[in-house]
Amino acid sequence: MLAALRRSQLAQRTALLAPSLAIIGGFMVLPLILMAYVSILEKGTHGGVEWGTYSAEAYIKFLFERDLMGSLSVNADYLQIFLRSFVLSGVTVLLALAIGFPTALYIALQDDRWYRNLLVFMVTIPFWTNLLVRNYAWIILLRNNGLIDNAAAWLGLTQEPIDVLYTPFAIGVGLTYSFLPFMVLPIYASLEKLDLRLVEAAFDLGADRRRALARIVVPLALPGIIAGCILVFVPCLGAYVTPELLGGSKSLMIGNLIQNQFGAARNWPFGAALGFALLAIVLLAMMAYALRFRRAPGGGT
Amino acid sequence: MPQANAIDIRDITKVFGQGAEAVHALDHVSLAIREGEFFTLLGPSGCGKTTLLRLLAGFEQPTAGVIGLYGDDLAGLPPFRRPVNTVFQNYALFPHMTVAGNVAFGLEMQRWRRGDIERRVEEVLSLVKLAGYGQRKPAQLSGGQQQRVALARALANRPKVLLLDEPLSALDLKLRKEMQIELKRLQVETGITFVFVTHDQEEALTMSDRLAVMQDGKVLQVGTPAEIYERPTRRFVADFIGDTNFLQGVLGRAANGEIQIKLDVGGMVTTRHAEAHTEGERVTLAVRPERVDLEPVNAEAGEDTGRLRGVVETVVYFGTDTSYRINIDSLPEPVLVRVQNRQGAASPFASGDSVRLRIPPEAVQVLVD
Ligand SMILES: Nc1ncnc2c1ncn2[C@@H]1O[C@H](COP(=O)(O)OP(=O)(O)O)[C@@H](O)[C@H]1O
Ligand SMILES: [Mg+2]
Repeated sequence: MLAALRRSQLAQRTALLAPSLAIIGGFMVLPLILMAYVSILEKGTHGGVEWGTYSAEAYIKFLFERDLMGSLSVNADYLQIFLRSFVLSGVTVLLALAIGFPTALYIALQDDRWYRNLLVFMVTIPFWTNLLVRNYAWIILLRNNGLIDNAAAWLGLTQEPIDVLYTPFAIGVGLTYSFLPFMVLPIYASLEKLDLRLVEAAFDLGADRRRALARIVVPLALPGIIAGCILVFVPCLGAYVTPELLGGSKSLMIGNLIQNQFGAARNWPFGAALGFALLAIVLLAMMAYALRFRRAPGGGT
Repeated sequence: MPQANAIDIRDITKVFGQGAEAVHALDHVSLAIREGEFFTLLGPSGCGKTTLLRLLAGFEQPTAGVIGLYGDDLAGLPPFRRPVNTVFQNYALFPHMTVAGNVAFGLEMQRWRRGDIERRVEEVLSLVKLAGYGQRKPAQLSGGQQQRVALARALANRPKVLLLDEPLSALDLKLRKEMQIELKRLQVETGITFVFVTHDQEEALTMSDRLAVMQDGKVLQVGTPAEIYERPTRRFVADFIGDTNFLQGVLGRAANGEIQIKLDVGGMVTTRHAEAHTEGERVTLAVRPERVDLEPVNAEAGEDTGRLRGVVETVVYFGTDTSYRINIDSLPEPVLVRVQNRQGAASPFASGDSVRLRIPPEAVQVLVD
């Protein structure tokens, strides 16, 4: 009886899991295996790969350069692109946090539930427009003779054109703008659950606003803050559209580099290897987060 | 030397909201709370007790009126600058900190030195009998223990005044009784002025040095538990605290220090206090059930002063005493009488017996309204 029940439970579980397993297996695991396979093949002369010929060339190319004689020398170009991507993503996370946390806190502190929901809704409005369109809008804002340039000149703040479009700065602005909602929403979610009486208790015990924020609000919102940081950092690392449109040819990011390998450079194995390197880094970051929060005090959710 | 006032509340009004939706949470409240006393705010839910505590703590600002702490006007002083601490109704312990971390928080805010903090935390935790619990998280403690942590945290800073908002209401009866004794002990030991909020009249009577009875944002009466119980001035106070019989009558003339009152139900009683009233005035009387005696009807004939005729409706035995409900002609509600049980004796009266109620002068309290 019990065994039969257990068996039927197993069948039920399998049936319930099957669709998601099929989707993840078919559209994630298989392509990943394929990508891993491609990354250890030789590239085809006109794009694509030579099936059945194995080579570690793609992984070597990441760090080394092979000259005409076939000898290797260290090449930091790709590493530099990775580094730039990390720095830009990190700066974006910091900017998004600096703007997003106060925004989330302000929304969470509103007494009127309708107003609060309206504000949350407004945070999500940018999602309604295509990312491409929104990034084009930033071109119009940031370019010389654009809105910001003209306004600054008119106010007498600048004499020369501002020259910010096609710089890492423009990418930082664009990325922060694009991913800000991913910072605001999880932080808001954890701040909304925050018991404001705890803040009153902190005031009561002699904490001023700054210290109540640092000792009570931020620690209790930490799961949301970290989730927000990951949700901004990870897609930033792989961002393609924003650096493509707002960054110049000198500020490539990982996403552009990978795209380039499958496009103009016709080096699929290298593109796949780059993709894998990115994936490994992201997975490591996620694992660090998981470990940190398994040991987290207070069992924050 | 006269006792100093820890807190002077002068003519405080607090209005929430505006226009038609305005709520007068406090309505011209004045109170003086003495240094070192256990002072209780007693009243039903919604009467403004929490609001008054929040004004003292600084979480709300009064709409009108002045609050003084040891003579200093508290107006505009933020909560973190006030030498008062609060034990919150829901405890409000910091869930991400240990018990020791919670208790140390206030001391860290006052920038105590590390060693001093550790010593003080130990000291306060053992004061509330939680020594050795420092490294636990609040979630790992029982309700009663959390209550003690909240107390320890509020006491650690040695506040001049400790505010307690219904701190025991979430505990079960046995634990509540224990904590009542504990709180009283802590108050005596520390000498800190306690302002304690409760809606439980028994708790208020047993714990307080003095208490204020509140209703609808007003303070109706302030006094010692005995004064409040024995000499309630308002119908609400008499009704809210203990059981009371209400009788209507007209004040007569005073003689030999006693004032006669002609009752509406017939008969006369006398009282010793009716200073606020004049001859011929209609008054309401409060008579505590245990101050009334029952006599068999055949003792003497006639209805002399202080005696009323009635018929026993119900008899309920309570161990230490017996409670009677006595029907009196033309009185809509039966009168409640409680008689202490003598050794081994069964109740001398049964349901349906005719009896006489003897209401001595000291049992009669003339109400103001
Ligand atoms: N922040 C507030 N906004 C509006 N009304 C309030 C607020 N706080 C309390 N009140 C109202 O003030 C009155 C007194 O409340 P409170 O002081 O909490 O009573 P108690 O603690 O005696 O139960 C109640 O009618 C309550 O609804
Ligand atoms: Mg209350």
